[in-house]
Amino acid sequence: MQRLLKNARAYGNNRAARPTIPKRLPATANPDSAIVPSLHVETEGKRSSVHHIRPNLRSTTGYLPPFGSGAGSGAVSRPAHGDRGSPQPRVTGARAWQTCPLSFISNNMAGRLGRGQPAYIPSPDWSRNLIDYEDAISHAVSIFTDGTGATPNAERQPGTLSGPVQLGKNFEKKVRKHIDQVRNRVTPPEDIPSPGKGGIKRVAEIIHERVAKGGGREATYAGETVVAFEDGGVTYIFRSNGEFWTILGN
Amino acid sequence: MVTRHMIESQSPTSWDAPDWHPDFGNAKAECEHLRKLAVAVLSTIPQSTVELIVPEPGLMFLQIVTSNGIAAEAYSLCDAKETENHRYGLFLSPGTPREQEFYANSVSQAICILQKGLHADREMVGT
Repeated sequence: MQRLLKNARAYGNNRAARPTIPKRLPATANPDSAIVPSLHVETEGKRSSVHHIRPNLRSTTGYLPPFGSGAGSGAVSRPAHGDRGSPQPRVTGARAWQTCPLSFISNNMAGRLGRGQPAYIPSPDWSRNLIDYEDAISHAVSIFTDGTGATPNAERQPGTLSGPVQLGKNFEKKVRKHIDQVRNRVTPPEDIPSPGKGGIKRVAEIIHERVAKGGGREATYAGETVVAFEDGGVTYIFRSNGEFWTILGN
Repeated sequence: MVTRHMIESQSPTSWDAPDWHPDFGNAKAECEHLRKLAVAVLSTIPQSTVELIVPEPGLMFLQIVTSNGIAAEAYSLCDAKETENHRYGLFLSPGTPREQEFYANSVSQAICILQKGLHADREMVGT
């Protein structure tokens, strides 16, 4: 999670405008059920792992409604920032269970929920934290999908990439080999500058734009399953994980 | 997949074509095409060395090095419809702000471009 947050920051999200994310993260009754190591991302040549957190924390606490579901809103709502000191209404029965402090649940149900481990110990700023986690996750997912429509843990849909577009270390050489094909993919040919004068950047933009439009198709290339994006007179070939492979003439 | 990086700079006649998947194109024809240029470069451009570089399967190019460093990269290009027709993509001073791009349909045309380009580059470096 720390890495996720670090990555979210690294991608230029404006953290200053939002509440601080605490360093301590919630423990869970069954860590396997809540935090799923799932993704490897490449950021400026550095490869790192990122954990995807299931947003439905009710499964671990029996208390919080799923994000955005509205469930439980009649019983308890997350206090607004700056309103945490307001008196809570007295409630009984089921509502009392729903509104009881998380620390009570964690202290009393730890043995039943989590093999002797606390079920969920939130910090006093739990609601702010959760909002922030949700925001960070949603931001991270938007980075990973790169407009391809793929989500990190979802099964890849045919014709989509399971990860972000990665141009790779030999991209410059590939552009030199294929730049003239890319120019002539349209009629009249696009006036792309030579590779050393902006051509590499322009070809990268063209490829990103094409992928963002969608409409890729599954294909097999050199014995591997690939995703092909046709663009006029050329086709961009990607490995299904988003790694750019080559450009073929149509 | 085997990635080969051949460094037999002064003996292009001993280069072996990479053994890669047919989907990557005709490696033998591409290697032969670049070998012809490499032999011509060694005989016409003094103090030059050549290197056939295969950074990954499906990608091969000729690197021409002079006393000033990497002078050019040459790629063997073929028309998708006419796979027999190969031409050279020549990139002088690759990876520098002085990079220039040319295309040549024959070895002699490519050598002419390289000689002119390298001469101009030497003058520019000299000034």
